[in-house]
Amino acid sequence: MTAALLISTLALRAAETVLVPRIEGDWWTVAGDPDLGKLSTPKQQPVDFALCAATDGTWQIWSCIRATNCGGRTRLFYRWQGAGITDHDWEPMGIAMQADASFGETPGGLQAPHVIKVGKEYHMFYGDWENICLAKGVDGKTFARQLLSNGKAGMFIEGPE
Amino acid sequence: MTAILTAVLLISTLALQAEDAAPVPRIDGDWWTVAGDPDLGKFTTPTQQPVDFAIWPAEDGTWQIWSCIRATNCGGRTRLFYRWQGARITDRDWEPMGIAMQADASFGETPGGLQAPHVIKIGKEYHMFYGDWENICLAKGVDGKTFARQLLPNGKSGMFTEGPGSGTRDVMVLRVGNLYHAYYTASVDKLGKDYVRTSRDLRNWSASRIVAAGGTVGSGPSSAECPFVYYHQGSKYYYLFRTQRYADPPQTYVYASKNPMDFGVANDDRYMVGIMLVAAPELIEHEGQLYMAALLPTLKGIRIAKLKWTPK
Repeated sequence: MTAALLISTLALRAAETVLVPRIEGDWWTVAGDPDLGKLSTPKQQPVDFALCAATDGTWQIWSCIRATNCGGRTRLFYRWQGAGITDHDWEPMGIAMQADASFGETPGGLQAPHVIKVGKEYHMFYGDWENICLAKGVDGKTFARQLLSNGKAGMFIEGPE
Repeated sequence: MTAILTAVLLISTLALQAEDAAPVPRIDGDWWTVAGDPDLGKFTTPTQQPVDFAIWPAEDGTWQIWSCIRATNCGGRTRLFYRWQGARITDRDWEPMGIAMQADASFGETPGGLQAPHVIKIGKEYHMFYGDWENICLAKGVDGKTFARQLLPNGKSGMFTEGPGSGTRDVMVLRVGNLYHAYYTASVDKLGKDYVRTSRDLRNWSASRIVAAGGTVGSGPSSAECPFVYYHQGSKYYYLFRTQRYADPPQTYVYASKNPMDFGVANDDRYMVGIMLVAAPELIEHEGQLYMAALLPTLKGIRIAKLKWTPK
């Protein structure tokens, strides 16, 4: 009741054309707690993720899973696939990517992917614990890490730690 | 010991039949095992086997193996790609890195049909050629560890095939002059043959041509597996390694030719220089040393040895 009153009050203060997002209907679950094999732990959690439609029309989720047994900062990327965005319980597709210290990424440090399609290419931006990095692909399902001229994946950073 | 003596005698006899003085490849020292039987989690089976593989150095200098694992629980044709990493080519027991890729029917690939990757670096890009059970496909990357599937304008990954049911597979690519030569095998009408197609851009390929078939090893569906062509700079011979058996014991016939488009069709006496007791061999040049990687005779892993060339 309090929240509703606040929203109403705030809406009156805003310009007439400003719209307010609201959840419409019920949520449905698309991804659960994945089987990571030897990297599974009881405390692991899917956290920040990307969602995109692949070239074949299927829906893809790449999510950071934290508190795994992968070592380092405990995080890796896992992939799910769904036929339609309205489907429940998309198919778990396996571990999709792990950090690589050789390319400047912090071990276990993969975080928060985000995918956009530019022309015919899918661009996946992601964090490596310190930097923002990029991987690219054309099918929307497989991605190749991009490297700078220094051999590292990090494109920019606000500074260590 | 009997098998070794027999192989030596065979190499000597066959060498006498070849037309010219092509040197012959020999294993130099002991093998070391680099990859074993991987843990595939829910896809693991007791009968799974690492078979045809690719081996190359990544951008960070580490060594990579992607291998087809057959007889897994992944469904369809039971095959997927698994990855290992080693700090040096001479290291034993490289680190298992997990499942690297699975077939995707949406892009025309046969479920569970991934076979025989092969990687070459051209400029700054790593090109991974692979089979999808029917077609030869391509994935690309720049770090030498992660690869993105490439699609044609039709939305499929298959670049070429010898036709449905032919089992077009086991591709490897060698640059000869200005042309890339893609060697592969197929079993059209259950007759195993080695083919080649050429390309300037790795996307548009010529019609196929048979480069090796029949001869002493016969023409069965597995008589021309895992073709691998190596150019020996010193002698200017091209060598074709052509596998017939993976085990009991493994067997690969070796042919030498001055023409990379012809290693003998039906009549191979002129080209055959030896038999090696290995399966699915790949030759790797690194810091002036030549190596051969091949399947373990148990079919539960991959091994490497130094390779040398000796006069017949």
